[in-house]
Amino acid sequence: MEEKARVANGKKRLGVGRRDRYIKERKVGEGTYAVVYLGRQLSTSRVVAIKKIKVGQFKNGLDMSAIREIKFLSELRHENVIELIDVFISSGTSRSLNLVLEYLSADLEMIIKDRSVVFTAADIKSWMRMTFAGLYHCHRHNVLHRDLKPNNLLLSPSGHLKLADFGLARKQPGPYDVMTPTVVTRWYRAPELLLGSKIYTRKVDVWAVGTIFAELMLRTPYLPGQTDLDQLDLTFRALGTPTEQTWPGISLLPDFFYDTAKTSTADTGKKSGIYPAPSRDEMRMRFSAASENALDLLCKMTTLDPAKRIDTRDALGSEYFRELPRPTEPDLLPKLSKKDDNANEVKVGSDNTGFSGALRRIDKDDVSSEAEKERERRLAGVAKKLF
Amino acid sequence: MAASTDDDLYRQGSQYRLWSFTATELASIREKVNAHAIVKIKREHATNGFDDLPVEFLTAEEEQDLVQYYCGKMQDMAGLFKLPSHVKATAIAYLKRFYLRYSVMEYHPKNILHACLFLAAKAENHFISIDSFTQLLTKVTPESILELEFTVAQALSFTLMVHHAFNPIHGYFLDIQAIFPSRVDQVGAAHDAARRFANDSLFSDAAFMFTPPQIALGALAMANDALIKDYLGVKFEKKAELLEQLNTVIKKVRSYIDEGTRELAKERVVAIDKKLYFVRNPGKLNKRKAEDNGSVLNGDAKKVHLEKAG
Repeated sequence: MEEKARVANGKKRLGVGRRDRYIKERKVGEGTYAVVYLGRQLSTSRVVAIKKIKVGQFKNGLDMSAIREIKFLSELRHENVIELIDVFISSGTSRSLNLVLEYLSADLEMIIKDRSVVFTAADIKSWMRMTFAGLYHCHRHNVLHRDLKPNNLLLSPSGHLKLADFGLARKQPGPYDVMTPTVVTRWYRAPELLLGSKIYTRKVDVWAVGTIFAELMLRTPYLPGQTDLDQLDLTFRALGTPTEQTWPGISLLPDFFYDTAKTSTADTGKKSGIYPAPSRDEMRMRFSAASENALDLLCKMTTLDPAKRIDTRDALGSEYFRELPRPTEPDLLPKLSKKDDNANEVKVGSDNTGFSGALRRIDKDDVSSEAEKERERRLAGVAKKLF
Repeated sequence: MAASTDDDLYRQGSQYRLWSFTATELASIREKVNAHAIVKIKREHATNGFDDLPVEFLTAEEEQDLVQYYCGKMQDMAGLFKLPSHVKATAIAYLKRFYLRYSVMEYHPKNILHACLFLAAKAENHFISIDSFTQLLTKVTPESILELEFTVAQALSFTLMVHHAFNPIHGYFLDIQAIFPSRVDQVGAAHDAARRFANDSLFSDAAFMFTPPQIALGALAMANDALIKDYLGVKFEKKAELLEQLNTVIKKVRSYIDEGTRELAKERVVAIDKKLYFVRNPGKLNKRKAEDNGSVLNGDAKKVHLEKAG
């Protein structure tokens, strides 16, 4: 409240030391975890986003998501990864952590949803290429993003795409370290995660980008599951139900539930469908505008068995990126239509929507390992009931 | 895509940009931190009317020894919470980095220790709630740790990523195994021993001066010199000059790891801590002076002991 009042009074000058290099201009979003301000770096007049992490509710000190974001973004400097410009601690009655981030006004989800924006195969290729370039950089640093989706792919005014929101990111662990499978927003979640795998790799990010690729071509989410179970069903219906033959080891995954020896839905009852893999023609029909090379890449990215799924390096080297049309230059990519832009301006202050992904998704739970375990337990319970 | 090597990536990272030094640079940073703290504390003493007391300040070497002692304490504490090697290693790195920004005379390591471990556990994905964290420790409140957590994060310039030698050791282990399949037992034993040497290296300045793969090779060479000689012989078959350079580095790393295993004499640590006690509580010197031969001295000595144990 106090913060709000001060911001309303105009440009609030921040404290001393490092902080006086920034001013907060107005509040543009608020969630349970952070408040986001639009601000300016005083020395350069550069527009920045200041994400102030609330500490009040977090009695466990510095917030885990913020720690992850700071830890990874300070190492991952890349043209296609959001820039963490600075971090500072503001004083006051309770000290709080502030992340100074590059300000990005749009995201890919906004573009996809904006019906007045028309985009071409070359535009899609450009966004895909930038996404892969950023992701390849993360993966080279052994960092898994674990939450790729269109509204975490932010767009700069010059059209550059940047991976954002590293609040769920982590290093690829050693061969026997377990991780929580409850990561990635449902529609973009890889099948190994849906089957409860606790040992997974950067291929979960490749899957997510694959579903984003499909979404760009379809202009609608590819696999929009209503629940986690529905997500699995939708995934198998689209790509075929994997078996021990197509995905060796699948039956050992924690939440694996069906008998792969049975080949039809009738055999397993209605709860879990056994679907055949789609033929090439079916894929062609589904993605009618895609070139053969685009379709190839999409299939390789959405290969169910993570061991056979393509990695970012091979994806970047794939024929799709070499064939014509060439990817559109970033500054020539379609932008949000003017009308929407204005609407967005108005919306920003009132209901916190229409703001860039990294900054908007601030209601995310603190994914402490305790919370993770709790969620795992709950999920396991649900899975048992339903299967 | 610009073709960048893994070395380029490392050089872009904070461990290289902010936390890598030559021995001379390291010594000069510690001298500066020490001198700066003395000036600051003298000023504080003067404000409180303690300026005529014969306070003995710590030297940079004494500070370093005390930090090394507390690195050992960190080892025990990480064991208490059953935290894996890399979390402990990160916590020790935070502690050592912290004391390149501040003097032990400004922040006592026994307190900073807790904040470093608490923060490292979170940064390495091994979250421990503040309540369970303080439950296992005596004389520590959640508030004191949380307060210092900010201080530590700030002193580290918010660079929380630390690369250790453990992963490279595993990588070399796989590569050596592939090259000498008949020496599997030897390779396995060398791997385990090298991890212990990498652990010893944490107590030295090795991480400030060498890259994790360099430390890993040094640790492996300490574990099985002949095996590593053969391995590098294969890898650098026609690059004698490079091999020679690498061997020089390995030799240096080994001397640093040796340094890490150096036992600190208990008496020395107690003496440093006692000095530190009077730096932080100069008023107690007053009493000591007044009752030079009295029993208060014993009382003070006891307190010094307690402070250290806490």
